[in-house]
Amino acid sequence: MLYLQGILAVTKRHLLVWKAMFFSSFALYTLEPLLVLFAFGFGLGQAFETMGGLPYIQYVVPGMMISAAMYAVAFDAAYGSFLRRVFQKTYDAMLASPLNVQQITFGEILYAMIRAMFPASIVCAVGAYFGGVGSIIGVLIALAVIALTGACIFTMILSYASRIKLLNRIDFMMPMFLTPQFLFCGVFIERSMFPDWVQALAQIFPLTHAINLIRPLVSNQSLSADVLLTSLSYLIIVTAFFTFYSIRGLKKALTE
Amino acid sequence: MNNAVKLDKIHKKFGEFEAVKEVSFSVPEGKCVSLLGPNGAGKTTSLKMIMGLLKPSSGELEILGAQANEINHHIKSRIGLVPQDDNLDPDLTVEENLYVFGSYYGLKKEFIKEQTTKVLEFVSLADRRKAKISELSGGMRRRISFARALVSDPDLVILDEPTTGLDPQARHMLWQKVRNLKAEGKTILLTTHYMDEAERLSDLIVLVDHGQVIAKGSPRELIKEHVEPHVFEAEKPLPQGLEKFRNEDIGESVLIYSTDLSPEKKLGTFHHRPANLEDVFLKLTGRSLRESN
Repeated sequence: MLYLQGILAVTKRHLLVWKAMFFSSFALYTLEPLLVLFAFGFGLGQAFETMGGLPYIQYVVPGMMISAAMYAVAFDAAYGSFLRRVFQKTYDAMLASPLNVQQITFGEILYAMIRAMFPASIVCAVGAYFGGVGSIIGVLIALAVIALTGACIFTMILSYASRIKLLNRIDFMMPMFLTPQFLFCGVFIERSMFPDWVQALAQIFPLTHAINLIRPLVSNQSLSADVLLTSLSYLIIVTAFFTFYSIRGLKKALTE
Repeated sequence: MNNAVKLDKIHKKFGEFEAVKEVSFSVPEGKCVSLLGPNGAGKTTSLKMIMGLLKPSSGELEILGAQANEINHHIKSRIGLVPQDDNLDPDLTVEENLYVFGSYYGLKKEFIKEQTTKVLEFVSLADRRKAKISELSGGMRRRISFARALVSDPDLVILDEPTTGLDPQARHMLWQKVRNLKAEGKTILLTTHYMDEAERLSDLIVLVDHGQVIAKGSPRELIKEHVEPHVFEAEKPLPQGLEKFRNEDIGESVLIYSTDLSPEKKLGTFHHRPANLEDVFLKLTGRSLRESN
């Protein structure tokens, strides 16, 4: 009970800080994807009437939901965690209380899940207005998948970010981790339009698997058991693995 | 008298590096003990072990009645730390900072509220409750850090270099607060680089260097035991006829240590003062600059 309370206290602290900085964060992580949605929805929507068998707006809304979530979570995992660990020493403050590194990490992950769902919900609401959403129940389940994907991306980055001593060591995240996912994992262009090796490479990224699940859910298409099993297992296993490494990384950085 | 903290032959290794070779000392309940030593002496590692963040490689550690492997939520709840670097949340208000910190302890909302009023009055910042941390001066932030460490009403308060970077007024104020805490019966463990601070506040000084305790005692005992009572500071070079006195070259000038006032006659301009803890520190740890930390 105390253990769980501790985790929630960490999440609550992050939510309070988020609230305090809401406007700058809103502009960056929510307005930005809306602009992209608008540009692609109208721009590309004219070029492709359908994509992957869906009206383009229905195709692009789930993609933008998850990519908005990815950016919000990724920057917090990379720069936010560095700020808390090195500049503001927030984690040291937490460790001076009865909290331990495990609780801190789980509190971070829980916060990342909430952060992932927020911009995705806004994008979804705007997308729904333009007819980009097929099923409300599907959206609710998709938000759960987005939360899981948020945890996955967050821990992947945190397991690395918790080990760096200089902030610029994480700068490669943009060109090597985020942009490839944004471009090649099926956010706004079907993966099958790319060469085979790009398609194969896309399989290693979480966004591919998230989109495999989210797009059928939001657009109310059937989701094959095969895809469900593969992509959901990918997200769960990768999250578990990197959660473990994040805890190890933070423990080493904070207590030794 | 019971000990709030007891380290018995504590040894801590990181790989091949021995951060703490052998440290033994106790902090009796209700007393103030200062842990002094140059950078890299093993103070921080010792504090981390006392906070339960590191486990000793060997030796016995007892904190508030619990052994090192028994330091749990309950024990840690009774320890308050004022950290070396302020780590308040700059985006939050004073009140929110205390609330957030209290919630890390699993404390009830009403209790945190009561404590917030109490500890802010204690550090004389009750009127800054709604201010954001980023709007406060360095001295005020230090006082909020102090207040934050007291939110859980701890029995043991650890102050890690609490007055570094503060102006004299703020330092005097913090010293008064430490004395008040002691009067309330709290146990205090202090680390500092300021010898005057240690001398004023502590009942017992533990001097560590190279991971070992090199001297222990009350400030008076240490001064009496290790250095001559009179100190003359004079310009270099050391005047002839004074070679027989122990002296320390401190750059521009030289310190001459004597049991009586006899060096006075041989000196031109000089400054005479009684020996203090700084002299003990210089004598026992040497004057070479420590780069490692």
